[in-house]
Order: sequence, then structure tokens, then C-alpha cells
Amino acid sequence: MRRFILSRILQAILVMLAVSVIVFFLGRLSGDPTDILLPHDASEESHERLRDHLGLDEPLHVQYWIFLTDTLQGDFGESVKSQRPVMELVKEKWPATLELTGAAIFISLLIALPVGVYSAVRRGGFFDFLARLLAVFGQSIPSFWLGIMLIYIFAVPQFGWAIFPTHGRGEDGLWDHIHHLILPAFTMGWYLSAGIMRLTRSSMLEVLDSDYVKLARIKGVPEYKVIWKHGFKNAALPVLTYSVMIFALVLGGTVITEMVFAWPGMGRMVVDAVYARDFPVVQTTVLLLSAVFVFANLLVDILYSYLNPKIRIAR
Amino acid sequence: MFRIGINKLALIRKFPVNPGIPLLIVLLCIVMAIFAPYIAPESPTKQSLPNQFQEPGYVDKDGTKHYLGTDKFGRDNLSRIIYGARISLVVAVLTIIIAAFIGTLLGLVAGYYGGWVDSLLMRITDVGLALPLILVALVLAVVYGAELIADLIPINVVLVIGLLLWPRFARQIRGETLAIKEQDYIALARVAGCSPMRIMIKHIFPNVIPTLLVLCTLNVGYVILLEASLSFLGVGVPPETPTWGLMVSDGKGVIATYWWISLFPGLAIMFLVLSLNFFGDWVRDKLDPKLRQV
Amino acid sequence: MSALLDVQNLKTYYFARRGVVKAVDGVSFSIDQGETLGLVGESGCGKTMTCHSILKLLPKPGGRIVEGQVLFEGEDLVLKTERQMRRIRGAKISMILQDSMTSLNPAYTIENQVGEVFAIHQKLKGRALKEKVIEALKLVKIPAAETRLRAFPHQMSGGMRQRVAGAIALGAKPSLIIADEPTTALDVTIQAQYLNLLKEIQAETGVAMMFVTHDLGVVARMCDKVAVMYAGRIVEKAEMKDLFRHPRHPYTIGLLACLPKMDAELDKLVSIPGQPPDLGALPDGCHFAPRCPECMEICKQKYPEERLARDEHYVSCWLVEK
Repeated sequence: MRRFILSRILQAILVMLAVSVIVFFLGRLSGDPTDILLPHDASEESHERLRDHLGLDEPLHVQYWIFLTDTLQGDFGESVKSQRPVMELVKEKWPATLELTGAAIFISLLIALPVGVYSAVRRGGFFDFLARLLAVFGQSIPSFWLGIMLIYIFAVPQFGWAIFPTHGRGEDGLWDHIHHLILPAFTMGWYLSAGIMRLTRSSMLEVLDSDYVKLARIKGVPEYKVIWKHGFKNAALPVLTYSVMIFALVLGGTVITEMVFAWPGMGRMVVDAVYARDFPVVQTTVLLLSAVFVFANLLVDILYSYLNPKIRIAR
Repeated sequence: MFRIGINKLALIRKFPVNPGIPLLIVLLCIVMAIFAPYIAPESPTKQSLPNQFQEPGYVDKDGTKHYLGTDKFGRDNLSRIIYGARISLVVAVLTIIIAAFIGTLLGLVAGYYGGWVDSLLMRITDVGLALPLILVALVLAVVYGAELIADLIPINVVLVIGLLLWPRFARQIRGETLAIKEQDYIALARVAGCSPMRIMIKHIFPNVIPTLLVLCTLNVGYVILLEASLSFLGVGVPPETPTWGLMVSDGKGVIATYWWISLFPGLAIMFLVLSLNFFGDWVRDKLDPKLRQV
Repeated sequence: MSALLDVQNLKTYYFARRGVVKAVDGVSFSIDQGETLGLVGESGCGKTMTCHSILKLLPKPGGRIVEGQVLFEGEDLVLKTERQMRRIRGAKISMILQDSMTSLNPAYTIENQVGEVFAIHQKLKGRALKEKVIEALKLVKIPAAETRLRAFPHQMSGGMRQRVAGAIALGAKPSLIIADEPTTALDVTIQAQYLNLLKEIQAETGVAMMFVTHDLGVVARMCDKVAVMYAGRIVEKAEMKDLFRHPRHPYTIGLLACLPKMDAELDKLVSIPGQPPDLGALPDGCHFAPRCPECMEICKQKYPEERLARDEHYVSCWLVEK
């Protein structure tokens, strides 16, 4: 058990090291970073000075080492555009993105779990048919378009029911906050719920076919308890795993939704940064999102081995 | 045996996927893409200031009817959608080819050799999976600019998506290879003195083809969504290019008054991806019983 | 005295898109209080579907009882609602499944799973519930039962797990237990132990048993009566000793010939040629006709009715004179 966790941690560190190499080179992609960092008409002199300042005269591996040690010490550099430490910017934007992602996952679980479970229970029936149709639609509608259409339907006075705000995060207390959150969260959640639903359905199908569910029925256990106590608890593990991974994965996917709804989060910040060639900000964001993903994976693996007694013993 | 018999029969009651209509829509898109110059009523880039923001069905002074209206430069939406199919499909096909090729190669090698080769390659796929795909694509596309080869292939978008997508293929192919490796006929081939190369190509690869096909069809839709998302963000293609994502983006700011600009290209994406997904489900049901239900 | 369980002309079909599978096609038998009936047949002959029909737990969608009666303590279970059936399942009729590895829920402790029966049917809670669980575990002779309460199924050996399955089935003191090949998943040495245990418990509690198996050796050891099933129908039923001594149906004769005997030459293992028919496309006439060594013209045309061959010995075969 301990060996398993240790080896997984080691793997995660290796992956993160590789990611850091890639991120480092992301900043060197266009050859001379000073071309990016300085205005077009800057003198050769100021190029030279900046190169010196950034340590670009050093060999690449030394530069990488400096980058790595700085990063590990929490020094992510300064934004080229605003001259502020990147970490400060991230700390400012991070909560908004986290909030949006969390709400999206919450909405998708709210839709996907019951629908997935009952779709499996009524396998082959009309409800199942509808649910699966919905799932295919969920995975086929581009979220940026869905967002715009939701704005058109619910947020502009076209139909006389502009009941939701079109952009921003809302400043007037909790209700205003939630009010602003609903459309973007639904836009993201719609896509996510399709995957979660399909997974819930398929793992429920497997579990419902099992002998222990049969035995529960033989014992005279009421049907809702058969489904939720005996069935769902065993089917939930892969769904839980998937949701945690999705959470990490989707953090990167908020970009689109944040652009559509002008949500003041990391996604918008990084798109602006990419266009402004503000590489320290971009690098930090990519690094952070990868780290969250790797960490989430690690967490899931460890959680999995704790939650599933069978694996715990086997290890 | 009867117990198995029942399960088999139960599986027959699966989703009544009829591949006919989805396939028809996909074929329609392909035809649209190939014969765009003959089908489209106008050039997709022809601007006309008096025709700005006209509603669907508008007939301009020259007597041309704009079935899906016009955009802010007076360009014909229908023509742009027809031409837009080109970029979407070209990107989808090329990307899938790149990802499938790299993924299959590395998946086969990792699965066959196992040991440290496997560990190394799987860690590399971990890295590929860990990177936030859209962001990296965004960065690369911005750095390398929007280059369009032969007015058709946004080469940077293709390379970026292809390079970021292969881990999905590698994972699955590796798993499959691991299972096939244990089969008796592989042991037999080894005893017969086949080289690892030959075993991989002649004996294992043909057996992963169904999985590969399923992966390809299931990922095409995803790639098209991804391409549309990138071009929605204005990345990888010159701004005047007719792509569906860009068109939706064009209409975003004026959605309250000129709804048709965003609506129709979005519907085009949806119907194509929907058809591909239905078709993918059908292919999976036909070819790979193991992946069924998922 | 009327029988505890009296199944009459039971027909359970499975309706699939490709057609109707006649899994149970007119089966009748009865079990008295405290008696053991062996239901014998090859896998796929409809044995398991018969068991599930009695509990009305049929594969959904598609499985349905289309005809017949299942009289339990004089009441027809076929007419009962799902809610009424739930009160019978686990309390009055229970079942031991083949493989406890898969039939016990991996996510819950032994205490939870055994206790569920009492929680549902006797509405017990807390200490009383725990005592009942220990009592049930002791009934199936699980050593140091108190210490096993918090164990998960995978932490126990196959034999112990199957005893837990027994505790679940027997805990609420049902009057009928259906045991569906309860020993096939066990090691041979453990099998005998388990069968003895079931017999002891039966002597102790007077529970009736329906023993489903393909193993005639087990039948000889456990049962008072035997019913031989082939392709959805019962072809022969009799007292156990009578059936072993005077088998009448060629299928039964074939099955008995398959049993290795001590005195026979070892290299002469007999088997019945051919395969059992597809239950979705049964032949006209006797289902066994294609494999029968004594097949006659009439066998291919008409299914033989059940006849009384001698006292309490019924056979469905044209060879048996009326």
C-alpha cells in the first residue's frame, strides 16, 4: 500500500518535471524571448540589457535550472504587461474559475447521476432512449455556441424574458453571484453531464447484472435500496474518479465559457496574455493547470485504493 | 448456455442506432466541402457594404437571394458555411491521421515490449494528457501564426491538435496490445522466430484495427469541436477565413439583433458532430463489443 | 397435508426481439414441509429460470410468467404484487446462489449484509440486530462469529463466504430454501463439508429445500425427491431411490450412465451425444428426440404427455406405456 502510493507520487513528480521542461520551452518557442518582451522598435541595446537580465546568455540547461528553482520557490516571475508578480494575478483570478468549474460539475452531477442511474434501471425503455439521446446531444453541441444561444434566449430582451445577466460575475451579494453563475455553469455542465451520464449508466448496468444485486432482491430489499445502496455504491467509484479528473481537465476548458460570458477568471486572463505575448502569465497558468491535473490523478489513485477494500487488500 | 443466451439477447435491445441518416449528413458535408465552389451561391469572402447584416431570405440588388442572411461585411452566410465545411473536415481528417499514427506506433511498442519502454512511453502520454490542450494549442497557434496552406490547411492547428491528441490513442492501443500479446498465436509466432517488428505489424496490428477504427470515429467529432473552439477564439486561421467557429464568434457581439450570424454555423457544427457521434456509436457497436454500453 | 410449494404447469418465457425463448415450458412439481427436492439438468435447461420464477425475479425487460401457478403455503405467488413478494423473499423463501464471491456485495461488511434481512423483515435495530446476526452466523457454524462481523467478503475464504451466504438465506428462518448449485464454486473438500452443514441445519430447523444441480452425486446425497429437467420441461420425477434404481426416461438413463462407477472400467466414461436444443427454436415433438438412442417416429411429431410409470414416478416419454 505504502509502496504503491510512493511509486505513484514519484511518477507524478516525473510527469511534472517533464511538463516543466515543455513549459520552459514554450517560452523560448519564438527564438529570442526579448523579441516578445520588448516593443518592436526597441534598440539593440535594450535587447542586450534584457537578455542579460533574464540570463539568456547562459546555456539552456542553466536557464532551465534557474526557471525550475525559481518556480519551486514560488517565484513565477512578473507579468510583462502589468509588471505585477504573476502569482498575484493568479490569486486574483483563481477563485472565479474555481467557482465556475465547481458550479458546472455540481450541475452536471445533479443532472447526470439520477438520469444515468435510472437510465440503467430502465434499460431499453423510453426513458433510457431519451437519456441516451440527450447524452449524444451533450457531446455534440459546441459549448461556445450553446453559451451564445443561451444568452440570446435568456439574457437579451428578444423574447421579453431577459432573466439572466449576460456577463460578469456579479458583485451584489450571494444571490447576484448565483444569478450570474447559472448560465455559464449550465453551458459548461451540459457538456460534462453527457460523459458522466454515460459512465454512470454503463457502470450501473454492470452492477445491476451482478449476483449481489440479485441477492439483495432475493433478501426482499426494497427496490430503491437495491438501486442506491447495493447498486450505486458499487457503481459510484468510477464515476467519482471520472468527476475528479474532469474537474481538473475542465479547469483548462473554462477558457471558452469565460470568453463567452466575460467571466473574470483565469481563462480570460490567459487568452489575453497569449495575445499580448505575456509569456510568464501563460507559462504559469499552463504549469498550474497541469499540476492540478496530475495532483487530481494522484489523489484519485490514492482515494481509489482506500475506498475500494478489494484493491486495498490486493496491494 | 442459457445464462449467456439471455445476456446476449438482452444486448439486442440496445440503442436503435440507424446509421443511415447520420451517414447521409456526413456525406452531405463531404460533398459540400469538395464541391464548395460549384455549390456556394457566392464567394465566401466577397464583401458588400450595402448588404451588411441582412436577414435570412434577403434578396440583394443583383437578385441574389441570401438564404441564411449576411454578416457584418455583407458576405453570404450560406456560402461561408459551405466553404467552412472544408476547413473542419480537412482538419479533422489530418489530425486523426497524425494522432492515430503516432498513437498506434507508440501504443504497440509500449504494449509489446513492456518493462521500462512501456513505463517511459506511458509517462510521456501522461505528460501529453496533463497539458491543458486548448491552452497549449492557443499558445502554439499564436506563436507560429495563422498559416493556411493552399487556402485550406491551417497547418499549425492540424499539427497542434494531432500532437496533443495521440495519447488518447496510445493508451487504448497499448491496453489492447497487452491483451493480444498473451494469445497463443503470438507465442507461436515468437517460437517460429518472427522478429518483434514483424510480430507487431503482421500479428498484432491487424487485431487492433477494429479498436483503432472505433477510436478514430469516436474522436472525429471531438476534433471538429476542438477546431471550432480554436477558431472561435480566433486562433490558427486568418480572420477572413470562412470557418464555422469564426462565424459563430463574429455573431457573438451582435446576437441580440442579428441572431442568424451565430445560429446557422453553430447548427452546422452540431449536426455534423452529432452525426459523427451517432455513426461512431454505431461503428463501436458493430466492431467492438468490449466498448459497448460505455 | 397439502404441499408447502406446489408448482403447476409453470410457463416462463423470455421475450426478445428475435423471438420467444421458452425457458420454462409447463413445469409442475411439489415440495412438502422439510423435504428436499433435487432439480437436475444440464446448464441452460431452465433450472435457474424456474427458481427465479418462484421468487418472481425475472430478467427485465422481457422475462414473464405466462401461465401456471406457484402455490406457496396455499397461496398463488403468481398473483402477488411486487410489494407482497418482497415480504416473502428472504423471510419465507430464500435462496443460496452459486458463487459467494460475486453474490456478496464487496462494499459492505458481513454484519451489514446479514443484518439487512432482519432489518427489513423483523424491523430490528442496534443491539438486537447484532445479536441476531451473530446467531445466524453461529447457525452456519462460522467460528468466532463475533470477530467476523466487521469483515468484508473478500477477506474470507470461499467456504466461509458461502456459509455467510447460507446465513443470509437461513437467518430469518424461512420455510423454503432454494439452493442453486451452492457448491459448484467450492473446492471438492469443502463441498462435502458444506453439504453436511446444510443437512444438519435442515434437521435442526425443518426447512424445505429445493436443490438445483447438475451433479447426480449431490442429489443422491441430499434429496428425497428428484425432478429431471430437459429443455424447459420436466421429463421425469420420482422418489430419489426409485429414480436411481429404475430410471425410465432415456435422458435420465443417459445422465446416470455418465456417473463414474466404482466397479466400471475407468476408460469407459459415457456421455450423451449431441447438444441440448436452443430454447428459442425448439423442435416439434419430444425435445430430447434428436439425441435419443431409442427415438421413434412419433417422438419427432408429438411431445409425450406425462404418464405415471409406477407409484409417484412420472415420465414424459413415448416408451412408457399408459
